[in-house]
Amino acid sequence: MLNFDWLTGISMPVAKMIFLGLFVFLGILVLLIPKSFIYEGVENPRWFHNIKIWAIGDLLFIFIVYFIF
Amino acid sequence: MLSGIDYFVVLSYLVGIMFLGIYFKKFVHSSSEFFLAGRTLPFWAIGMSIVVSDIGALDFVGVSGQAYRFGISVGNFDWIGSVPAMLLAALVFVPYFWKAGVYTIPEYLGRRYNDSVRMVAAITWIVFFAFNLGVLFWATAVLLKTLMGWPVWVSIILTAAIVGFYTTSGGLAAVIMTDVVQMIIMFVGGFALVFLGIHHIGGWENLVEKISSMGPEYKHHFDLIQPVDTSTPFPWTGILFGLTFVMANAYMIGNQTIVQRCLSAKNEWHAKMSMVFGAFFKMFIPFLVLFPGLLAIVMNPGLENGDEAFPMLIRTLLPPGLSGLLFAAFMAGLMSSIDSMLNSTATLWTKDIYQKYIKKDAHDDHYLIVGRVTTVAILIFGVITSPVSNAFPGIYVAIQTFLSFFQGPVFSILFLGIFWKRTTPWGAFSGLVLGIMVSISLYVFKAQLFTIEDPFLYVSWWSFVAGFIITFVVSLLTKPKSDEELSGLVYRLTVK
Repeated sequence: MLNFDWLTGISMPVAKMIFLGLFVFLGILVLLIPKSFIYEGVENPRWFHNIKIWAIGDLLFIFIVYFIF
Repeated sequence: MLSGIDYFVVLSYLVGIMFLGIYFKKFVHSSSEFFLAGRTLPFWAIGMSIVVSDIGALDFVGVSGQAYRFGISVGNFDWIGSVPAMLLAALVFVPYFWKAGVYTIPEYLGRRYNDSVRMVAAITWIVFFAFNLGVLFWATAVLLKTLMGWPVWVSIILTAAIVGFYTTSGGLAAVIMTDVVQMIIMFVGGFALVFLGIHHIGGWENLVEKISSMGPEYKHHFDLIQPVDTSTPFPWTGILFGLTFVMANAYMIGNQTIVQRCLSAKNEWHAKMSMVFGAFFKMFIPFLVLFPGLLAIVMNPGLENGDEAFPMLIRTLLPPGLSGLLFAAFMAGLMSSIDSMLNSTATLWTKDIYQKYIKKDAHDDHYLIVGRVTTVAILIFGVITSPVSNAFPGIYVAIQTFLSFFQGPVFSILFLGIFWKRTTPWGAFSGLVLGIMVSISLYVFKAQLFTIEDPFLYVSWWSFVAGFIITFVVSLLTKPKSDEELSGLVYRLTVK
């Protein structure tokens, strides 16, 4: 129980899919954030103030790392 | 041994850092400017500072040592063990902390719950930082002894004197701006070592081929995701549940040294963006701290202590000048971690203990002096207690063990505190205290309860679960705070 023995049946490819799925799920959550919240504190919003873009970029990078290794 | 040009590089770095500290002294006239840089800093400086505070001498030595033994799976700590948590911090927690105008995480917990929770959290962090300082000092001394033959205590006292000087002078602004310089030096020095190492071995493919052909114990050295029954401390279940869901979030959301930086941002957007920006640089850290361990497997096989991999590589690979640069990078990593802990501990002590319980309504100058005196006192304590870390088998694992005692319970009450307005002060207090006791019990009986070498990831997860359940149950049985009291402190709860 404490050692997660009940998950030993999950194969490594499936475990990898779980990790990749987590990044996709987080990406979807990021995309759902309202624009007003993203730009709070910015007087004249420009495209580069959109934190969603940079957050998705971070997730894309880490997705690629876990996809390769 | 370092050559003349190496000493010149290192000396230039140390003198430059000290001058930077002196420069920022002129901007510190109040406790707000000392502890939060007057809330004036831009996202890029904070983001770089977060990255460099999280990576230190400990990582250069400890992570490369772990990579030497276990392969790239140790990189999980900087990838999945950081990036999702930093995004969660940026987009959910940090805006609430910043808008609340608090100095510390315990101060937020005090407002969200009560003073008891605040005090337990503050004392826990102060104790952790104090002992953590000793571990960091010892890591440096081990490297300097291997690299230059310096006596352990000379290294420790020299480092303490320099860091103590600029941290006491310039406060958080000096800490963050020196961190920016330190990150640049670390990246240049670290990448130089990795580039030269890979070139020396004959390219990435050669490195993979050589390590893979060294025997069955190296079969999984290039697998990020390890099976549940792995002999390493990093099974995928521990990485997912313990690291990703608990330790990473606890570290990025509940750690004073990290969050304090975001609180110094000039506005809410900068506070949020600092974490997202930091997450980008964070993803490059494994290349700096993990690859040297892999390179050392090929270049120095058969090391008894993996923590010697990194210093051995410097000695055998780098030409004069670059050795000095990497040595400066190592010092930068160490100093950035120490200065963060010093400043955060001083903030915790001054704001959560001294100002709250010892002297309430003193002039602001008084708290500025207390902050500076605390910085020096905690530094001396760290130096004196540094040999403690020698009692643990691996430097990096020792730190994770300390962390795992209370990261889970702290994150459980932060998580419930933000997302569930029904969470009560008594619920949080019970969850925090009993959760820490569960952590310690799990660690004490780890040989009977767990099957892997060092189960700190599992300890984190189960202590989080314990803290969560205890907080939830006790909250249902006790009286919650009103919506008016919780306005601005709970997710999407604003009472006008």
